[in-house]
Amino acid sequence: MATDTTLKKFLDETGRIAVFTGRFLNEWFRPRYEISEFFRQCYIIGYKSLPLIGLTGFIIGLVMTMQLRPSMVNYGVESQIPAIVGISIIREIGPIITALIFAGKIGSSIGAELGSMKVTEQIDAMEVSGTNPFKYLVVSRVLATTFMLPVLVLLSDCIALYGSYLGVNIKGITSWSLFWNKVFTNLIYADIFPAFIKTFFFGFIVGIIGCYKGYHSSKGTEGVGRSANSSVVVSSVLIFITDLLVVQVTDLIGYG
Amino acid sequence: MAKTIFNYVKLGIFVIAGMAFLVILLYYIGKNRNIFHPSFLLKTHFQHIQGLQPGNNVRYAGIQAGAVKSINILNDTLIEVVLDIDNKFKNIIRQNARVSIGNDGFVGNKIVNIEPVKEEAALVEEDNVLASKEALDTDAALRTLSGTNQDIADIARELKTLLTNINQNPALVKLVTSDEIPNDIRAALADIRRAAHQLQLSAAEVNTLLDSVSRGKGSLGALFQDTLIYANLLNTSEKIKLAGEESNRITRQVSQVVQSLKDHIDQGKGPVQAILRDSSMTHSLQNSLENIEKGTSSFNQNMEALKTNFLFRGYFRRLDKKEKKDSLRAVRE
Repeated sequence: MATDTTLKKFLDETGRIAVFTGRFLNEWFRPRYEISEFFRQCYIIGYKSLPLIGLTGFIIGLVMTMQLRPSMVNYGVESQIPAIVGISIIREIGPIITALIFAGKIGSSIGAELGSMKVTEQIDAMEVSGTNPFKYLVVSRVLATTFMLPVLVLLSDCIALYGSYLGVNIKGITSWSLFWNKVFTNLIYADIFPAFIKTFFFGFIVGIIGCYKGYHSSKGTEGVGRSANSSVVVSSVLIFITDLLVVQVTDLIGYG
Repeated sequence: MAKTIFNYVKLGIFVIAGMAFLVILLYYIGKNRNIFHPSFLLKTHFQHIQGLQPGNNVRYAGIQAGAVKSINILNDTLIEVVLDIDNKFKNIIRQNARVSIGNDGFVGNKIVNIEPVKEEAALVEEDNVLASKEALDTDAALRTLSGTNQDIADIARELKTLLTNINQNPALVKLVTSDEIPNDIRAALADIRRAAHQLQLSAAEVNTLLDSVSRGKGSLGALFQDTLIYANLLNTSEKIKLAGEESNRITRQVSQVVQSLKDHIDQGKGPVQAILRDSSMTHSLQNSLENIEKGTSSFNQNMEALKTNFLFRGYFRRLDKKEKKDSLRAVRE
């Protein structure tokens, strides 16, 4: 009985998210466009997330290089560390780690913000005042997350590779130009494009789940906390599922 | 309002930085794959491409020159590899260049190596097919390595046996452990050192001598360096040459005389012809010789008569005694 209820809740939630996504796609193309709010959200979601994302990327690049080093030295392929770290970061580690950090910071933030607006009936007040709250609050935020996460991933990749460069030079000597040459020489477009395109989906997932959870928040301040929490959890799980699907699709079309 | 604009500027910088990294990334990858450079195609054929894939690097004499564009199966034993080469190599790669498949490092990606050869040939053109060189077969290399290992094991076993035999042979051990041998060797080395020293001294003397000769000192130096001796030698040789010519002339004259005599004999002229050919003259000469013989015999008789004569007997006796004395002295000596 409990399983049935859980399944029913899961399917009900999935359906509601699908309807919410459909409404977003419907509202996105229709005027009036909230350009100013979109840029404000881009600044908050994108620019203000850079220090956290950058720090995470730097540490990931540095730690990954230092962890790889002993095994690579054992196999006598120490010189291939830049190539391996470069491919790993560009193809998988950069997008997935950035998206998870982004989900933790922005997903929870959007869920909590919209949740508190919901429970304090600010959204209802906006509807009464003639402003389309969905367009103003949801579309601008989802678009901002969708377009800002790829930029954050690119910068995070760059910072992570710089961290890797420092990691390589902690116990060895590899020149700046040789390091980047090794990274670029071993990359192909098939590494870049799938990794770059999937970050738009990750950003969209974080935005749409955060907005959905916040927009449908209930039960007062407790509901706000639950919205923030569940938006992070659901976004993270969906990011991994999407990543799996992207890998399968790119493998099928020959870019794996 | 001003703060909002400032925020937008920061957002713009943030987005541009991200896009710049993307552009740089795409540019460098494209550069490595010859996407942003004019290029031309070359082809080569292999029986086995060992896992080569489109996009693998192509190197000319170790320099990045392009990438593998495509791989086509021509038939069951031949595979065509199309190489996308940077245009700047068009004036460098020649038609006799050899193509082989290698590894970028021991465990790296496959690469295509274009190696130049020393012989002259025309430069490559679009769609030329370059000759390929089958790469080292890893299995064959491992088989060879296995054989080499076996050989090394055999040699090690033989060496072990040899060393065991040496250890078990007291004479050899004594030879190796003897104190005399190092002393002998030391003494031999000392002798060699002394001989070398002597040789060095001799060489110095030879050098001094050669130096003297070169400076014209001593008889040998004078011989080599004195221009007067050289002139004398030239003069002498000139005289020898003249003497030779003179002897030639005399020989010719003698030959002419002999020829003249021969002619006279042949023509029946002159005294020689008379002696050799005239029979009456031969007869009279024979008579004269008989008369001389008779006269000599009479002279001997007269001499014998003189020996017995009392006037000359004393003289002949003294002459006999002197002869006997001389012969005795000769015997004693």
